Amino acid sequence: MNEEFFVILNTIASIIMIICTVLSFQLLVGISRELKGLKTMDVMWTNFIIMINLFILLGITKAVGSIGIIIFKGLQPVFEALLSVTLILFFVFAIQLSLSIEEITE
Amino acid sequence: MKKLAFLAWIPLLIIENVSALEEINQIDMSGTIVRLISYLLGVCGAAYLAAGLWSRSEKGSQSWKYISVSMILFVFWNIIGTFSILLDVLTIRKSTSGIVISDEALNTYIIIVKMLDPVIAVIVFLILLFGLRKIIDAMRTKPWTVFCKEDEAEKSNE
Repeated sequence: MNEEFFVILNTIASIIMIICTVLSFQLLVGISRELKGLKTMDVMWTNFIIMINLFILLGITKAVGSIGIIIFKGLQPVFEALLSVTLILFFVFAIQLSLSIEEITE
Repeated sequence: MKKLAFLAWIPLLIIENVSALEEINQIDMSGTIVRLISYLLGVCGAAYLAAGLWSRSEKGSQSWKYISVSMILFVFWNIIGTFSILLDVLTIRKSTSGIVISDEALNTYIIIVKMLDPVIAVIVFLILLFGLRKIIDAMRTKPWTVFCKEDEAEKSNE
């Protein structure tokens, strides 16, 4: 397959991802405003907001990385390291959120 | 004491071997291993969270199901990332490691991975956006339905 096709595909995907992550972040701000009335769910919601924030950060890193690599190839290890760190943090908070959801479900 | 002193040298020996391997194979093995582990951790975390959110959606609002589906797709995205790392290593080490695989097959796998990676990433974030919108709508209109089903909430009110 043509290399240019993958460049265009990655660029379009990155633009859509950036738009989605920015809109998701705005919704997350809205959710955190609504949380004032749900004080009994504090731990679960705190973990939920941190986890979604990390997820959004992951998406932005991936999208900016995909475009950045096209412009300057030397940035690839930096973005890969950032992606790895964010994924490890995501794992930690995903487990925390699952445990707090289990507590609420029981 | 001499045995203990020898043990202290082991990490240095491992580092020396790793750097020697890097020079031989022309690939950053330590960085690749960290990436591989982070992707596998992502698979585990996202799968566990997807299961938790799915069970939550059965007892509460259906909007949790969207985020659960997004997490399931995120698991696939991580698996594709893992395959892409393995294919990169295979491409570089094919001649030295003696693995028998045709160039055509390898190129086909690389093209499939390159195609699926951005497509799945976009779907993951679109479903996440849709799920978050559903949750905030539920929180604004009927906040009691976020954690319990509407029928049960109505029964308890009666």
